[in-house]
Amino acid sequence: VTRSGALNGLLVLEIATTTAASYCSLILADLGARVIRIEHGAAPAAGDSYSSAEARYLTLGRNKESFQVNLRSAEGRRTLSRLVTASDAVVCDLSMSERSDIGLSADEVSELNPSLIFLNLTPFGQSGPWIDRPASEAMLQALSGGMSMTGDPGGPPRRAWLPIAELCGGLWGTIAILAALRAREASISEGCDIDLSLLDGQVAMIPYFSAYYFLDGVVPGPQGSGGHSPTYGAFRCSDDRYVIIAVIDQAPWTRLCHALSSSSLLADPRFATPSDRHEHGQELRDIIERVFESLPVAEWEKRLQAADLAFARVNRLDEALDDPQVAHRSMRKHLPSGHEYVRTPITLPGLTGEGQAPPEIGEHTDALLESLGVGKEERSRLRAAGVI
Amino acid sequence: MALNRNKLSVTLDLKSTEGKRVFKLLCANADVVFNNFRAGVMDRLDLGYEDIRQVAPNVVFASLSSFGKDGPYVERPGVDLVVQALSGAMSMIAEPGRPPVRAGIPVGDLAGGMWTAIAILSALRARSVGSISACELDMALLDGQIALTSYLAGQYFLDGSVPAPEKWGDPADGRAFRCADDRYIVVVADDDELGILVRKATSTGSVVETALTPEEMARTFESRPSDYWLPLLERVTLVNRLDEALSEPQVLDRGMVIEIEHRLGGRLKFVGCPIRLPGFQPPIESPPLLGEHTDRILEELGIGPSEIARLRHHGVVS
Repeated sequence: VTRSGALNGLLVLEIATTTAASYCSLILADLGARVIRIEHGAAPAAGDSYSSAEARYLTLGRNKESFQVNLRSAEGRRTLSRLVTASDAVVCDLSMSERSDIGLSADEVSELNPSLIFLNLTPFGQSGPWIDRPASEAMLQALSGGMSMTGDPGGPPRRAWLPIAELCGGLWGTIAILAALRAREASISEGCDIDLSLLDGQVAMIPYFSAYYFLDGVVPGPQGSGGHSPTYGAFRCSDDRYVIIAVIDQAPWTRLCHALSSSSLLADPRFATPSDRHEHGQELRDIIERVFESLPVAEWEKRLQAADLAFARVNRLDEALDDPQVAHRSMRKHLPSGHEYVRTPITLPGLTGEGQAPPEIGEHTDALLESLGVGKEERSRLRAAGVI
Repeated sequence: MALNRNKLSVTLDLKSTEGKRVFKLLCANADVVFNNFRAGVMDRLDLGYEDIRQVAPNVVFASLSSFGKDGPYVERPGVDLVVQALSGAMSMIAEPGRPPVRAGIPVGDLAGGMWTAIAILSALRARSVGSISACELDMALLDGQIALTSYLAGQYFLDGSVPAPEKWGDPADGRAFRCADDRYIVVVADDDELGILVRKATSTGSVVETALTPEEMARTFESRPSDYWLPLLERVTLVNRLDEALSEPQVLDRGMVIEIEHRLGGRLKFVGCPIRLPGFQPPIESPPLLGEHTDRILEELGIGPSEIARLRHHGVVS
């Protein structure tokens, strides 16, 4: 695999199965790092959600190599430690005790490779009362308060269907590794063992609602389709599709009234200012809902665009991926294998490589061992002994 | 307040010739120049990448806008809600037959910021190893949100399946169960496992190893208050309100709530940064007053007091 990219020359091991950790190392791989996935669990059974043909694996596996090793054997652990010694960073979702079991406790790691950046990316982190609690995406969204802010006002809470706690955990993890790498390259630190928690990451993504709460005790409920203003949210059109508008201030409000061909709204004293509109929110929404229901979404798109307003059709996923702007920005890419994917949204001019197919599980085991100086005969022996 | 801690603040009129000159002086000392104007605004101010490169040959010049600097939507205004709607993310949260709702967390905006931080750090690394000398980063909120459709997009590309609220109903990974006190809980377990757990927890006689149906589960949970269920089932989590989330022992123990002495007095609380690198003591500085550091920074640029007074007099700085 030839690579170019901003992170060219970095070697990263992924000892992980969670979306968060795999997404983190995917971003590093997309940016040019060489990422080796360590497969150490039992071989996936037919029908398991985890297999090399499944969408999540395909999506999160591109640009990575796969190394399969049995970490229950001492020899397998020794092989892993040789890879650790050669690496710049490790992305790991194991608990501290699981790390010890495979010979990668913090002490062992710093002895093997003092300049290693070891990222622990776990649901609750390596401290606090909940270290060992089982977790899921829905649970993280629920605990962080994010779920309580999602849904119809007065209705039940909903989770964001995108796994934002895990995916954004991957983003935080990438930022942590890059910051640590910068500190290392500027010689202001050596390696480090980073303890990053998905719950922390999710709580950090509530910056201003939490600031309001700390300031005046206001607890936000479900935000519906918008939440900031009666003219900030989704409206149903005559073809049963929805369009969102994001109008709060006076100038766009005036333009909105023109786009809705409603001079009476503009003249109505109940809706004169943003605070008036907020106060008479339900009345205003009722009126605007009726107007939007009179025309199909495509017509509203034209009118709202002509009025230079912030608007959008509420795309289904298929529409989103066919959206002209998404296409123009080349967000859809093909792997040489023909598989399609959405790319990492970072383009460094002159430093962008082509995507490589996700590996078959263990595809690179032999090549990697070879590069560690393990010869063919020795590899046959290791394979026969079930180490690799 | 929430978005400006640990920063300095300078006010500058970028439309004035003098303001541009001071801005370029600032850029000459900067590693990174970042803006979030719509495409073309910095160029029209003669402060675009090519202009800044003249004074800062090694600059990482990052722009973050809703749609990026090209494409059919380049002139359209955008905010978090627009990006959530366009990306398909919002269509996945609607309740059947009801309008779509947005993620309460402004993930379009915040993930856009995170992607940009990653891009900047990557560019700095490429610069430090000599593979680039300077670079322009054209970041878009919509690109970032599309990227987060990750394996849902992967699934769609494989078999054409489009996530839709009608397909919801998997209690293990999304549905919140209502309890008798009108609070909601979510449970980590697959359907069968959960059914058995609930049956065991509520069974008075012999344990039956058959799962409850989702409907039976919903009725069971609704028959008792949340504080009955929470201690009983380790895998049950209350859907926290924000105030509860911000007083969770785990959140506090991890130091995610930080307190800052504000410039104007008074202690303010915020949620902190989840990244802590061992050996570093991250700063916790007050959000600045607008323009608080103008004088200090002009002085660092070698501009003397009388010149600063003149610039202020002409409204270039304030």
